[in-house]
Amino acid sequence: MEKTPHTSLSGKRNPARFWLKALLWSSPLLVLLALDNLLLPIGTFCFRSWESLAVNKNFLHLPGPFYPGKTLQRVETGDEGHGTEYAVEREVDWHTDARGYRNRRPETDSAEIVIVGDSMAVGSGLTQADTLGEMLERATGMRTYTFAPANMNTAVRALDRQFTRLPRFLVLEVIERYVPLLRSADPAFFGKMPRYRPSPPRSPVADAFFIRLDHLEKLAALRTTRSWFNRMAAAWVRFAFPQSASESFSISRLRMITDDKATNAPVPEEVIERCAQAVASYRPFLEARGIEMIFLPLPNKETIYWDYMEPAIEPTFLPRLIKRVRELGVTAIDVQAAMQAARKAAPDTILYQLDDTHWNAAGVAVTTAEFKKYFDSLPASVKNPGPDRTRRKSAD
Amino acid sequence: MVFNSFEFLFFFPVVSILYFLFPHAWRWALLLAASCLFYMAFIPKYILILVFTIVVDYFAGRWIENANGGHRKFRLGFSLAANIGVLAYFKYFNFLAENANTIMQASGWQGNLVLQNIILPIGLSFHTFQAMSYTIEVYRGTQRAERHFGIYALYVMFYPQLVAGPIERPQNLLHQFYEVHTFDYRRVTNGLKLMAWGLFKKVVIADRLAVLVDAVYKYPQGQSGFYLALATVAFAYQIYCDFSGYSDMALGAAEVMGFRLMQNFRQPYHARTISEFWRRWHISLSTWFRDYVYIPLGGNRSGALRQFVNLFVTFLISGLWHGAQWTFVAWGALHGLYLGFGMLTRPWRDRAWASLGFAPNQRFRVSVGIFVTFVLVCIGWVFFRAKTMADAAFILGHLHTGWGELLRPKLVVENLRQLGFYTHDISYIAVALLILMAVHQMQRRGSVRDWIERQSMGVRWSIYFGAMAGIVVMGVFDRQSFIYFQF
Repeated sequence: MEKTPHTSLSGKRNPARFWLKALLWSSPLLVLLALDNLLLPIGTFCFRSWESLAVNKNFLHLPGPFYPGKTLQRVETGDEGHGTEYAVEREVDWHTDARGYRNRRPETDSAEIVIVGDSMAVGSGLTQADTLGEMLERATGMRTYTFAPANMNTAVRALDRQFTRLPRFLVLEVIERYVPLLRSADPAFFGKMPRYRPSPPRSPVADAFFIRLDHLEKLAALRTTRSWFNRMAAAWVRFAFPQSASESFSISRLRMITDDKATNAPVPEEVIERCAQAVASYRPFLEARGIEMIFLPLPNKETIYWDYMEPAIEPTFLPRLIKRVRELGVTAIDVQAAMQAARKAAPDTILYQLDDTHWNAAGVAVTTAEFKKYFDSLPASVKNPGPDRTRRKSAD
Repeated sequence: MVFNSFEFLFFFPVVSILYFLFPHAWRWALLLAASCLFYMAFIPKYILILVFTIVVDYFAGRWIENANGGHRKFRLGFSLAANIGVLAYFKYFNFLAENANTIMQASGWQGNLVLQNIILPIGLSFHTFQAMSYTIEVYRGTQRAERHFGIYALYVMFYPQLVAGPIERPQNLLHQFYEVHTFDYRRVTNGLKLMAWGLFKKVVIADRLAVLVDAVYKYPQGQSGFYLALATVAFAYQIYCDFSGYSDMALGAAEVMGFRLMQNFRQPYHARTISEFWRRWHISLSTWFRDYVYIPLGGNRSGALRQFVNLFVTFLISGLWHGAQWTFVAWGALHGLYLGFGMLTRPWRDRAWASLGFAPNQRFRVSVGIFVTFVLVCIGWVFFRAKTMADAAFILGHLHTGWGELLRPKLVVENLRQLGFYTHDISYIAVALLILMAVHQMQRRGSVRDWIERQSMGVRWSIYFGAMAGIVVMGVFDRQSFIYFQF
């Protein structure tokens, strides 16, 4: 290679001018990112509490699915209605605990009822007081803890390791559309109970840093800016082609009920059997820990409002599944039947959010009442087994 | 790693800054390491394929240079066989095996070739062709064999053009690795502007149109002819903006560091004939085929019929180069036929225009030529994009249906929404295509970058901020791959 003088960035070819202009050019972006990540509260540019608090990428080792130890109050709208004329505004508050789950108590190592579930158990679109966990606690008087969104592996591992006292009931909540995705319990995982090893105390400074870093990765300000522009760009079409009343109804119906085909699709018996076996496979492992499992399959919105479907066929998946699950010895709450009865009794009461596929406070209340009925039916010895359930001291 | 990824946002400035900070003697090593990193971001182990072809062609080049007569030809043949062998195994083995199995089954023969579980290495056809052009040029005596192994490896692996070209010739690129490139404000900013323009074409136009194209071509049987035609025209712009956007980013990234790569596109949809289209579309590939296939076959030196055959064969191979599917073969064959018939009928067409009183450059004649060429190219794109020959046949057979919807724009908007192409997509595409046309119009008069330089500071910075806002707001960032990576 020919020998040549070293050419550096600080040479005579105007690199300083280049860097200055590059900085100036990128300043709008940098200012936007700085506002979002350094000055304004988290969630300013997010359209829902879920997006504000959810951990985006777990490479930062935050403990759970949401930022830990956060409280948030805001006005939000549903998933399906956001940015449209179908949006319904509501004020919600969120509280997350030290594990990064949506629980009001900052830290707990015991509960009578533990709920493991998905976004329905989290209470997407609901204020904290209307979540299943809190309603259940108020209705039964039993201390409740929600692991959601989480799977059984995560929840049971956390119970084994971090709870000094195991719960008496574990509610496995699954929204209907995810039931076929349930996997059977892995004996290698659930068979042996790991040593009690509570998490070391977390550093609030480190958590705050990681939360900000995770939030930066979301690029929330940019995404929100884009969605503002998207709405503006779409406005001319709404202006040029206003919808007639019948079309508005059609779209509103589609917003409310999202999937005609899936709900009307027949479910073969082998799928029911596979799902039921998967649910039942957890029971022996939980029983070995002294925990009663309660299966809570929640109907899809379109399952409850099936008469709006085309064609209108009453879905039978959950009743068949619940029957089979009960045959296998697992307690199951039939929310579909309860909601259908509630709908019949009060046709004007909507059980799901109008601009979202998740349930609303009325839907949660119907479910809680079913639980209450079940708990009330239990003998006193099951409900109050005595103080001997404290199984471990701080370290075995 | 792709140019429109988050990783490249860090990779590119770091490599460029280091490039200027490194002493010249070690810059080749930096670029080679960066190119390896860039390539290994896809499937790391496939770097071994590159290593194999680089080693073979490096030594082949030197052996060819030192040999005479038959030995020289034999050594070239060895190098070409190694390159084509790699290409044949990774790209064509399953295609050949499937067709052989079909033929054997149809003939009642016993036997079944087992298909291999092969993932096509990214950009295999590009770097293989670039490597082959090196040994061929050394064989022809127009290029000296490279002594420096690292520099030769960099010639094959130079990251801006490694995975989707332009397919460079050794005469244009190799010597540039010995040149000293200093930081030059004007050149660096020019390169960045070209990258920004390429990114705009890719993320704003190509990736947004892809939503509509993918939805329609996924199940064409569910669409009327109007939407099939709309999706085909959309694909014409998608593939142009995707590929030329990539090329612009490659040229820009190279220019920032001081390298000059060949231009790959010159407004191909302004071509008045198919032959002109191929002088404007994927220029580095079409000139490769011209120099290494068409001319060696005899070119236009042996009469019209032979030229027709040469064109047809060249484009058949070009079709196969694009992919191991019959749809690509049909696309290549169709363009071969276009060119052949265009060549044979040209005197007749010229006479017909003349008899109507239209000179070659008269606006009406030019417009008709551009329109007809675009329609013919779009017919070709149907084969290029369709999943199967049956899909392509269905699309072409139903293009005439459903045009009544043009009278019901509200329904069209609603149907596009059902296809996932929302109202804001329509607005953005309309704006972006207007910008594309305006830039093309300006490019016909001269360099747009020079034009920007001549504007007042206010206008210049409005353009710079507008470009950034346009890309950030209108860009689609969840779809990262480039169409031509698969070739």
